[in-house]
Amino acid sequence: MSTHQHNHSLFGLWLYILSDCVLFAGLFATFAVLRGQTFGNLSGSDLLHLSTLLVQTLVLLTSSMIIGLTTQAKSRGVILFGLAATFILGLVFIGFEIQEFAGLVAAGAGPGHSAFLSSFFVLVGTHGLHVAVGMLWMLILGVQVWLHGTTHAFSRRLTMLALFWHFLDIVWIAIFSIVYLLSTTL
Amino acid sequence: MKKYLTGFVFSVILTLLAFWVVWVHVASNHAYLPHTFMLWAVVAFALVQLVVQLYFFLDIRPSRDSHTMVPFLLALFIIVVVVGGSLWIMQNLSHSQTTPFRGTPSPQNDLY
Repeated sequence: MSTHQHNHSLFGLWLYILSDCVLFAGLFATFAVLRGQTFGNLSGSDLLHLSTLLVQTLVLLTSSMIIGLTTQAKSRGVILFGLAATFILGLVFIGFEIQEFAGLVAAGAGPGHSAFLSSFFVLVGTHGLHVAVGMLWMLILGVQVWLHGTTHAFSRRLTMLALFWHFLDIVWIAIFSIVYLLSTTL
Repeated sequence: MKKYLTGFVFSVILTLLAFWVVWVHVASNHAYLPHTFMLWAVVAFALVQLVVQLYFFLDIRPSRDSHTMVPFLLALFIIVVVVGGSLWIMQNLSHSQTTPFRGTPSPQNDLY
């Protein structure tokens, strides 16, 4: 694998990430426009549970740092440990989100109830889906490094995964600020 | 290695500051801190944290090669146009409506 090819793959991933940002911008714009249309049901400030949200945010932030540190590691054991730690933190994050979604649906505030809830579920759910895909990517890389060790191709893939995961953390900054924290100003 | 730890520490501080502002507001039953202040404080902390993570985690800095920076600036431009433009247009539409665009359908709204 030449460095030329290495740069090409990274550039491709970078273009994908930026177009994904544009997709999220569309979802954010939709949410911002519809966030007052609650149809008398739950509004944004009813969804705000500060302690859970803080734990979720710190969990994702820590995982973002760990995957970054993992890209610097050389030994197979450390890399496997880093991937496992990031995976578990991702699982905790998704767990909180599934719990929140299930609670809302059970309380009769599912995505079909109001324009606000539709845009909320789509925006936060799309981010959660990305996190789940990132975790699948981690599993695959874990098996690869377990079987074949740290090849050149592997470190390229790990760098790309870290880039993707950092991007998800950045999208989460916008979600926890705009969707959750700013709901108190409604 | 150092850049990830620095970025992490800054991000944790900025996250805690944003949560603290909202917590003060909620804990005082919306008595402390006006809405406009909260809005700008939370947005400002989010923007600073965005820059911190772009710089320390994603290595986005002005000296990066044009292959990285040109698509990045283009995406940034599209995001600003899409989000800012949507809010601007919908805000104007809501001003020209007879009932307020925001808020739930309630008896008070029928007065306007």
